[in-house]
Amino acid sequence: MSDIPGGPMANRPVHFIWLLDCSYSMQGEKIGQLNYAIREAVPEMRSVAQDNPAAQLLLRTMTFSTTARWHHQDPVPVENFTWQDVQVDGMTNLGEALQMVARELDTPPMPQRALKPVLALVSDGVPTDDWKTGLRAVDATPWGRKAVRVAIAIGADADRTVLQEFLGNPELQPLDANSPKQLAAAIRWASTAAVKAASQMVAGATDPLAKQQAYAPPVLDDDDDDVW
Amino acid sequence: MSGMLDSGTLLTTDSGLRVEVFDLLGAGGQGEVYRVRTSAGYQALKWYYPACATPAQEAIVRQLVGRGFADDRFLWPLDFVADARGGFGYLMDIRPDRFKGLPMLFRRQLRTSPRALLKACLYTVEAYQALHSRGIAYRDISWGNIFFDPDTGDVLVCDNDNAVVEGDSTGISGTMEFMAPELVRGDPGVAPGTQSDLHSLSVLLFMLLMNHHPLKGRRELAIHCLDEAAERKLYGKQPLFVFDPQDQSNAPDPTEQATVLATWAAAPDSLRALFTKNFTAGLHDPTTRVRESQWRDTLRAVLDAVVECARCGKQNMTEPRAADPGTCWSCGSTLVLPPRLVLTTPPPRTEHHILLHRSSRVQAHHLDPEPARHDYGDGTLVALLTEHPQKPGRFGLANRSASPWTGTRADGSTQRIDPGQTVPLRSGLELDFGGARAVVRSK
Repeated sequence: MSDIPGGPMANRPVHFIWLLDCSYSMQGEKIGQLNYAIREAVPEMRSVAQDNPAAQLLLRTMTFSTTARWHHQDPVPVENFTWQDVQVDGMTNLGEALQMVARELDTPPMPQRALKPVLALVSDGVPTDDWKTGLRAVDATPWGRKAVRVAIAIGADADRTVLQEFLGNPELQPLDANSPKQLAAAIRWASTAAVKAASQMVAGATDPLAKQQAYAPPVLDDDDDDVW
Repeated sequence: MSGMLDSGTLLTTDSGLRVEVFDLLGAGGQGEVYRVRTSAGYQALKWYYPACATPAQEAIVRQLVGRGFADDRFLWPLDFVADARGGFGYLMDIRPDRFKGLPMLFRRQLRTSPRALLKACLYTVEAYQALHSRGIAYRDISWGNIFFDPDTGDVLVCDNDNAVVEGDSTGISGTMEFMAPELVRGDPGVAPGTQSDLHSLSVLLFMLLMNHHPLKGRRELAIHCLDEAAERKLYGKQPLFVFDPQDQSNAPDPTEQATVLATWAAAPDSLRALFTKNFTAGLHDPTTRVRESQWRDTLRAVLDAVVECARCGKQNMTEPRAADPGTCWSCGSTLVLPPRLVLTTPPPRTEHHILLHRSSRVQAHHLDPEPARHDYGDGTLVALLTEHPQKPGRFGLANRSASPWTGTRADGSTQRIDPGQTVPLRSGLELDFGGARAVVRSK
């Protein structure tokens, strides 16, 4: 029995979905860097969730290559989230992935009450299927329209137009990750700033990721000694 | 975890102190905080994200450093630090471990007590009052920048780098749920300042004591996606207190919002009255908001009126000076009022009613008609209710001050109580604490 009256503060879920490109072009160092970056970001996601008692952060991961599949099918509370490395295979079927995400953004399976969901797309290439139909399916759901979106372009050959269109807001820019350090910073920023944007509204910003400078990611001096 | 600054980075503060970055402690909305080594030992360095390292922010930080604010309730910017590439930040002390974040309290993940919570509220009020009385507006009061000790109620205000001199229009807009409605709406000519701080302070106090947001009732439950537009409506365009006596359309839902119903039921009338005033008239007319001095007077009176339930031992807030203490919030038993010490300060006379539970304390601030600050620590202890070491069940007031008291019994005879001595509690016993006078009353 508690020494003070009242139970825990009421909260609302934040559904956070990672959409990860696992096509062949990610083979080698890139996929290793991605796995590492997400693993690194998990403690920070826990910390940002811990700092916000009015939100309950639930994570899911979808990978897309020749097919799209849920890496974590059911939403996992961030406290229990563990990362299993993703592997590469095949094509870049982003459209199929978006279709599957759209199905999860209807009510149900979404609850009656939630905070804005977060869709975080990480890709290095050009989609090989009908991604526009998939994107329209996401936009057609009420939760998909409200979602906070972040996009990370891995490598110089990433199709930034697709990512830009996914963001759906000319004021938002995909984040460029041209080095492991940049990728880690971008993933870390996406995992924390997007959760804050979904759960802690700041007045005066129509799109918190666009206008709220406080959430802008750190610009790095890319002075690490990687060999290219 | 890696941040903007690498471990081992050497920086020099404006005052010439050498600083070596040790590790990253955490990240916030505006920047990162590092543990750094200096000749004075470990300190903390806040370093702004490039997007936040603006000339305006630099001006605020420089002004705060220059102003200086030696007050143990604040982690104040102590020294300005810049690198050669346009980055900057400031040095401050490291937050001691005993101070916990409010999210742990809100999740009920730590043990505390109603007395500690009331003290935390009172200390919070006085901390912001200390700023406001110097003409500084904090402008970003929220659960994220106040920490408290769950045992003592001591508070520590962090992230003071948005505080500005009243009237300075340097803009941060703040977290919407803590912002005054006129700021959420963006009314023309309205800027964050001490008057809007009063709203944020009341929201924070409500959350500390009630574990809920004062404007989140049924209307919030009717919202599917709580996004900016929905929050703007809840907190700005159509704000309605969950316990508004004239309009019950935003009353808490008994199932989904049971916490606030339980905590409100356990709060005494005088506290409820202040919250009601602030979140009805005060929502629409900023000049009617509850001022820090009103919060302070009510909180300290309630603190003196906390009683333990005789059956289950849980602390209960009772209405100061009321004859009926009500029932225990935990076990439902009827509460029994203990004897009280009615203490009158020197002029301008203020009367305090201290209920005498098994470990009641009289503090220095009880004897002062206009104390600058309340302190419930051992350093300011004047008297402590103690049980007789050989005669269990017999209680007396131990003199823990440095000077003798004079006691006058009901029959008119007097006695001297030296520091360290204990005077037995008797109905009608009068005590002269050297200016302030007190009398023990059975009811």
